Amino acid sequence: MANLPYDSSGSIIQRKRGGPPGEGAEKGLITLPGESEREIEDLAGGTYLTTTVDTMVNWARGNSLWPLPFGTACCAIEFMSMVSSHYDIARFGAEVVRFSPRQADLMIVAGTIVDKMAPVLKKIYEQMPEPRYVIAMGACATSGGFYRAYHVVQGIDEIIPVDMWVPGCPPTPDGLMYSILKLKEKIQRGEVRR
Amino acid sequence: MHLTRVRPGVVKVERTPLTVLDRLYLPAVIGGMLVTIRHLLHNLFNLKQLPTISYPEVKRVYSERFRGRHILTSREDGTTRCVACYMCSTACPAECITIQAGEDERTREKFPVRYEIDLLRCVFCGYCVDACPEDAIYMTRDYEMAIDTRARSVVGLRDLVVPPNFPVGPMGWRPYYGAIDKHGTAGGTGVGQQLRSAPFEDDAPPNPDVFRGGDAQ
Amino acid sequence: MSTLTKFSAIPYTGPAPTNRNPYVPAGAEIADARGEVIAAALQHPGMTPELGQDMPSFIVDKEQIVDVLRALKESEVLAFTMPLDLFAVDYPGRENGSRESGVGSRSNTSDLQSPNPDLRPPTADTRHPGRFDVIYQLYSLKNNERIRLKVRVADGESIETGTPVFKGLNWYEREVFDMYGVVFDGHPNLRRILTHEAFQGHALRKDYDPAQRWILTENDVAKIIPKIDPRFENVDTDYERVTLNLGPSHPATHGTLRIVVTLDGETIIGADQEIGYLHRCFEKMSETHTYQQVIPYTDRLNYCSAIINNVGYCMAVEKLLGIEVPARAQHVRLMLSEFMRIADHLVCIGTNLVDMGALTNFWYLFQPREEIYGLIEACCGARLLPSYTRIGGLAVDVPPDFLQKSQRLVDMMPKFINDVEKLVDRNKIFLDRVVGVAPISAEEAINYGFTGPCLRACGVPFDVRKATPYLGYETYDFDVPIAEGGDTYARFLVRMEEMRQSLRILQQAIERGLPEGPVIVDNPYVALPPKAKVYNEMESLIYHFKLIMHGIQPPVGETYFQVEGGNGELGFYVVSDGTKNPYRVRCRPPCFQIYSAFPDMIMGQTIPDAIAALGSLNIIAGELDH
Repeated sequence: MANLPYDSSGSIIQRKRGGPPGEGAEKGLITLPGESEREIEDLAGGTYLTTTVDTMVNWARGNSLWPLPFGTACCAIEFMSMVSSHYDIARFGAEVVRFSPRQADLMIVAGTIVDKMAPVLKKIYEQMPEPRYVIAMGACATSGGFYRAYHVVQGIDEIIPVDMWVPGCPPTPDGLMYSILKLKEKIQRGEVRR
Repeated sequence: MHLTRVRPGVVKVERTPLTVLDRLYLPAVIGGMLVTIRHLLHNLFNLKQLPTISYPEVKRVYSERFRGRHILTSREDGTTRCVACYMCSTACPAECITIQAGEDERTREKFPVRYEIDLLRCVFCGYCVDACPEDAIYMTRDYEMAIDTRARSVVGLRDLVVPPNFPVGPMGWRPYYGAIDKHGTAGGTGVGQQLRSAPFEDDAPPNPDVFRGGDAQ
Repeated sequence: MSTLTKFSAIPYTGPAPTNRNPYVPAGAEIADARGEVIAAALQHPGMTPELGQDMPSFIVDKEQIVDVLRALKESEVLAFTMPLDLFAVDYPGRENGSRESGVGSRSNTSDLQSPNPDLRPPTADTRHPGRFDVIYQLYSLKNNERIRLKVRVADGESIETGTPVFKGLNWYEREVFDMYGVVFDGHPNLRRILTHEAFQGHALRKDYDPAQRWILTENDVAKIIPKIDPRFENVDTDYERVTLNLGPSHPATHGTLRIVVTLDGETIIGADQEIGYLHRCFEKMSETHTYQQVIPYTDRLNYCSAIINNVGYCMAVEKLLGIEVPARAQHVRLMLSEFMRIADHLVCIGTNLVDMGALTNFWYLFQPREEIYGLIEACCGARLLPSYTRIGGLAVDVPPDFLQKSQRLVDMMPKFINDVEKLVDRNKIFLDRVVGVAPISAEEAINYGFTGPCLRACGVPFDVRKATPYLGYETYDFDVPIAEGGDTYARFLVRMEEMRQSLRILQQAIERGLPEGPVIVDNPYVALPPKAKVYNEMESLIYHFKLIMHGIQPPVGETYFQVEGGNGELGFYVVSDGTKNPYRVRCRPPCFQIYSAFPDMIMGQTIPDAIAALGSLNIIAGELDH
């Protein structure tokens, strides 16, 4: 077959082998201080004692996160990048994008939530079946970002509970995937109970 | 889809009427299938050229201007290079930087007692780096940030400060506006900088474990 | 030797040298002369010329405005048929009887004194008191010229509505009402448009606290019942009439649009939209930030083509400052604008085809788009929202292999565009969905104030890059594509061809090569000095501190600058009071008027048609709602 008219291994994207997934997920800085201590605590007191069934259920839940993209603004475009050809979220069972809240269990709030949208967000969150998880993506959704303004919700935790916060404006697709992986690990460790 | 020229500088995209063949659906459908099959075969035989990045095993390496998480650089003696001049917090459109200045008793030099960045507010515009007159704040290529409680989103000196002579290579957005020889290390210019003999206890001690962004090798 | 020496004699106190004299636009005399011609042609008593503006400008009596609008529109010679913009500016100081405008009497935390009142521009007369300037901007396709009309309204006064003359003014009047509380008599549907139902006060008034929020609960949400189109009112039908709500969180709305339709069977017989679900207060935020800090906010207007917004805003401020950007920066701005235009169209066509079930195109189109973002990221470190330009140039020079990377992109792009064309262009399934769907005639489109691909799809070859060239577009050989019919298919064709024309421009730009030289002006009151100097020279360090603390201070005045955005004319109207923060930044979003025509376009059609049409209009919520 003919070569591509461009060199995709060139300087636009350099490919390098990374570490194994677990190692990569633990790499980020922000999680850090005290993360390891907390894990030991969990082992001693919490998750270690849960039954095998629980472990199984958590494993299954973590591997089949069906996202509901609540995309409003710029971050939604990056979310689209994540589900399009350059990234492969299907490897983690999270590619089934559902626009109906009844069929989703992970809500990715991508973009600014303004006061006018707040009741809508709340209603859609309430329509999701339990267990439901929420990722707040980007500066606007997590805290209002630089819109300290008369019509912008200063962080969606005013309205709904949030499990994972992703900084960035917008976060890169890899950054968002990292947060999904981290949420997956949290669920599988049984840390998120909802 | 063909063009006719209306007048200089303006072309009209003509709508060609459907031919009988087109009306049969099949030619267009088969033509479309051929295009997709061509892509499929091409990808099958050129698996190495697939544009898909298998994150997290394969990581995308962004350019050396990438605007990721911030760091604060140190002088050779281990003190922070920041002099708490508030330029970065003034230039920040999100007002996400909080600085509390202290004074060195001996050298009468200002230094940050508290330097906090609210990563959730931050919009990663790079204005703080542009505003810094001391070569003290850089942005890294680290994009893997995910925070599980909001309280952890505010990072302080302990998370931000990197050890002296930290390699510039893996970092992202850095002070520009004219090239400058960095001698391969962050904050390496050191021209006219007062040196403090020892780090003070208010400065976070340089902790090699803190920065793990690294070269993403 | 320091390049800053020529500024050394200037003391560090008082207003910056950029702010010593009032703003004098480059073509002020020509505009004034043209204004005289217009006034002579119109012979209308209610118009007072306002001299020294960047376009012919008049102050119009409040009672006369609709007459003037109608006369301007119907005049054979002038033919101002397109309503470009309508917005307001608040000068609370005028009501307290101060001589002019109240500019400078802001409560804002500005550490500079307001400039000397004698330095303010010669604005006119005291015959027209009133706190608000309501500003109309019209465009004449025939003569390729613009006109600005100002109406001065006091608090609590009302103006007659202009909607019978220009349909495009409908939403603008609602916006002015929402933001300033100016009432338009006779408006068919004067309710809040951007803010929510529980909102109190008018947000863009100067005395409104930028952070004052009002919480909307579910009980407050107003129920929208669309008015049934008169054509269908008395039609006998076998079906029950159903009202259906689409959005604001709906996969087909690409963002936060909400449409309420009344259906008769499957036919849409009434439609109403609600917008403002992404009203992020861009205009209020820019009043509380410095000129430089507004740039990241402009990114987030049309986030699919962010650099065009950066360029538009920066060029408006540069026009106000009267500075010329270095050739290298202009070249890079042009190239990245064209890349961004392609990316914008790729997103539009890709998502539009997804709505119609053609998912494969989405993968094909998003691959080159990802490569474009790779190029942008290599230039400035962010993929989607680059904030690359600065007032006076660029943040940083492009990487050394910029042209090679661009060339590779330009080479690979046609393959993907051709693939998509092969997939859909002769495909009857696709054509049945788009041909003849949601058409709009050229007259209607102009009356609504359409610009960009949606107007060109009606056969009107209006392109800002040709009409009023900027960044040297006049030196490039490219064609403006038009199509006939104004339907969804025509819009698809125009966008496909525009991508190819953009590639032509890019190929020429690459062949010309990047001009040598700096990428930002050498003026310490506008651009930060080079870092090497900041570290080593006292004087540069002072300029550096001074610029960050006190910001850029353009001269007192107002100006408008337009660029061709992904969706049409993207204009920025900047009012400066001489301090570091803009007094008012008005963004003219091209989507706003296009979307306001949507009910007319889909009337009598079906819901799937409406979805296909909505995708082809490329409504970007961030731009629509500011």
